[in-house]
Amino acid sequence: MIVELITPLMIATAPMTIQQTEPLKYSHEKQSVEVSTPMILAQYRPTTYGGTRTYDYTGKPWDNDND
Amino acid sequence: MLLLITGSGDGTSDLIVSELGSKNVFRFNYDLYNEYSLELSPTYWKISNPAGHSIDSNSVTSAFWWKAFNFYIMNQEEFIVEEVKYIFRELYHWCRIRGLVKGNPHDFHNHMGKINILNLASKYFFIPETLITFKLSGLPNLKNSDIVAKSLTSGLTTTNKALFTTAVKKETLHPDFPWFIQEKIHSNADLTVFICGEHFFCYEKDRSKLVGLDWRSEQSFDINKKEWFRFQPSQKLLLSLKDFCIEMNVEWGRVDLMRTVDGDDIFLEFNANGQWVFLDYSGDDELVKVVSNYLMPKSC
Repeated sequence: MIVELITPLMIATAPMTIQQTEPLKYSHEKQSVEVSTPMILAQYRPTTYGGTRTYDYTGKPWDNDND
Repeated sequence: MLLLITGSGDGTSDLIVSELGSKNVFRFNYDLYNEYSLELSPTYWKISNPAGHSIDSNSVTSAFWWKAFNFYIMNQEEFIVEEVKYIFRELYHWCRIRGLVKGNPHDFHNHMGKINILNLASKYFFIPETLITFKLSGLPNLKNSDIVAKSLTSGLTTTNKALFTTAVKKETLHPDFPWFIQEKIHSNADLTVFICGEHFFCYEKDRSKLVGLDWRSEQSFDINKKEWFRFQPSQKLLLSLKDFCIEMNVEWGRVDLMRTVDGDDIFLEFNANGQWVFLDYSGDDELVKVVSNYLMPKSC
């Protein structure tokens, strides 16, 4: 029987993603992002080059937890 | 004043600023570097933000690097990006040389990676049988046939996929690729310990409802749903954690473990800059307060 070999790339899967609901607005006055609701706060994430980030805004990791 | 080197979209940094008070923190966002004014000389440095808030080499009392390079400088020449990175690193090391930094350097794992950490951890914990291999060398010697493939870097593929912990069979691994292999742990719970100064915050998460092996791929993103529950560590576990940290010379980070069906705690890895806010969304355990006090003790 011929066994099909696997590679690391073949078993990689797409991480969970969250849609950013509104653009981040950073305030130098407050030195924080201005958010209107806790739900939005939980959902926004840093900008990437079309890639997935390793954690959401509140720091929940899913594909990486060290930098 | 705390120098917080981070990125503008980082929620953890928002919480720290909120807890310490904006006037006690200077937040230096890597991705917004061109919105700050900065002078950095061998004898003096000063940074100001557009709101007129500033910090200098005389007023800084502590410094903390948090995920700064996880953010991106958009629409900029790579040469400029590298120049800016150099400046951020230089500023951080100015503080490090003077004993002002808290936490761990951003490049900690470039100097101490998974295998060297496992070697050290084996003095204090059970560790899984582990192998990094080219050409599958050493694979036949693994005692356990139940194995998983993992990622060393947790990087993404060009198609933005991640290698989560995945059960594999020895005979199906392609020999022309690097593999990071561990024995599969039959476990009831994932454990994680957040280390902050002298504090060890231990949390566990039930694995019985997991479909796959890796909890990171099956999380709820509802901040109102608690997934990790704090537990009191045994004296044995606490002592092992303390001894491990002493030998690693760290007072910050996260240790991930698994509890087997037999009740043994198996060390998996140490994350020098692991996330922690998700462990305590409700604030019941006051992690943000404890971290803030660690970053800038009241006496400062």
